[in-house]
Amino acid sequence: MKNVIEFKHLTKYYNKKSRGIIDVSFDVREGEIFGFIGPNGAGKSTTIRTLLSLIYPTSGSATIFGKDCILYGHEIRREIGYLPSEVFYYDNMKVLDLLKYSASFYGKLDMKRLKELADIMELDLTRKIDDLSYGNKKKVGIVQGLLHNPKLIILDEPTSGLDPLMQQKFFDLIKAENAKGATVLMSSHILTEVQKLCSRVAIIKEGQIIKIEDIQTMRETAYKKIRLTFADGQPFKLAELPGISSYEQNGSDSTFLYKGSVNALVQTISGIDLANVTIEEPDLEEIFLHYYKAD
Amino acid sequence: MNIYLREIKANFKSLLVWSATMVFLVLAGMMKYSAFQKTGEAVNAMFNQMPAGILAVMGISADQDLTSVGVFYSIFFLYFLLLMTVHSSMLGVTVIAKEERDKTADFLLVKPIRRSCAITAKILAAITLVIAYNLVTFISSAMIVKPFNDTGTSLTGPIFYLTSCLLVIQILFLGLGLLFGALARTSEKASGMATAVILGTFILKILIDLKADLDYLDFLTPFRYFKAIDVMYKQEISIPYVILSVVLAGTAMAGTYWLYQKRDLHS
Repeated sequence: MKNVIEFKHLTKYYNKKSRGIIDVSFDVREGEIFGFIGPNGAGKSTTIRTLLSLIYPTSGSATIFGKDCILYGHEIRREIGYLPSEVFYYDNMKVLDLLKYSASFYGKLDMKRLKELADIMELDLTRKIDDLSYGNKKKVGIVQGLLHNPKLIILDEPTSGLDPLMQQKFFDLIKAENAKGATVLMSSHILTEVQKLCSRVAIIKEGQIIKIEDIQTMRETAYKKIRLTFADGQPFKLAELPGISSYEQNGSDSTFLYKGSVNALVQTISGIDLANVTIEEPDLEEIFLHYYKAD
Repeated sequence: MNIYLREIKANFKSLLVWSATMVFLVLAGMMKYSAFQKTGEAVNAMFNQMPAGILAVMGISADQDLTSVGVFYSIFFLYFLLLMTVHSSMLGVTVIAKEERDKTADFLLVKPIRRSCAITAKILAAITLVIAYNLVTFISSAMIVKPFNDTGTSLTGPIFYLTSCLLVIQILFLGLGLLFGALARTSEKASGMATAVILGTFILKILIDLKADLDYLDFLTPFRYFKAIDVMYKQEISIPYVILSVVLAGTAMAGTYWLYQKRDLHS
């Protein structure tokens, strides 16, 4: 499979002291939805804005469709749809005027697609940008970013400001674009949304990539979330079993993450008088915290 | 073309306000003239008694006949210069710095265009607006001065020469504004730099006016590149200063391209 984006040791310092990103390397393959997760200030926007040559790297490089993102930026950007984390537009314009203005950079305006997208996102085209709420501005950004049928969609914290219903519609829209062949790179600090959408993720922490993994393997190989309720209310020394982490004891309940042979676990707990047991897939949040705690 | 039109639209209202100010200035000035005209020679006597410093700030030299409509109009030149240097330098700052100030850089500069293209469109739009402002000044001046002119010789020609000189200075300050817009991190800082240059060169002009032996510093202050009376009555437009202005403006614009293409656009 071809790589659509390749980051090669991309490093950005805003000045000597202010770290942006350090030695970021990863690939985004054609046709995938790639998640880019990390807390605020970890360097997600810096990475994305460098990719769009809004800012220039201190060292290293990145390619999109095999072309250097700085040298060929103006060509590459024809195929990119970008939704910035915070959307700002020319205040005195109406939504439709802004979308037309945006479309004018890509050749002819596809009015049908504009209407479709606006309908899906329930966007009122006749209003002034100035009067829109944050969430509605975000919708303008989404329509604006997808209007020219980009082959690569870059989303920086796409769902902030959208209500859950709108988020779902937005996800469906992104999935549909992906199914039509668009590659998606999306940053987020909310893991559940990455979980819903992405096939692979890169985790960034303090400017450095600490892990690149399949969402699937990330959940499967890793951890089970287990809760035990002891019938006699007596705590049991489970923490001594290898593979147990984040152990918490709360009265007769104990919850923990478990990594290792399920058989070994079942054998161990078979000797205990239990009132209840649940074994779940942990959500990414919990795994994520685990990654972050690890160092 | 789309960026060009966008910039024209975005600055059109402000151009109207500036134009209204200009028309008001000429109108109010000529009202004053009608009083001078009626008073006659006493006006010149009065101004001759005023301290040289005050006259210099007002742009009047002691031996001028202020009851002559042309001479009186030539005094406006300094006020035109002040208005226009502020207008064109702020316009220059704004067209460049606005994308970061309004955080629209993440919209405009992710479009499939080179940054240099965006700058070219913006500079062309700014030049258009500056020319429009100049035309407003020329046309309103010619129209407003006409009813006061009882000498029989039309002043439209001299006014045209004078506003042509203004255009040269406008382009110069537009260039500086653009350069500052690309140089400074924020639009506030860029406006500050532009204001400092206007104030500095204006003060220098007054110092040179007051001290006869400082003429050799003229090249440092565009306020002294053209002498209104000479431009209007002798059609004497200093070619070296026209060339200097154009070269400075061109250099500043080249610098704008160079700096803006290199810079990180902050969100």
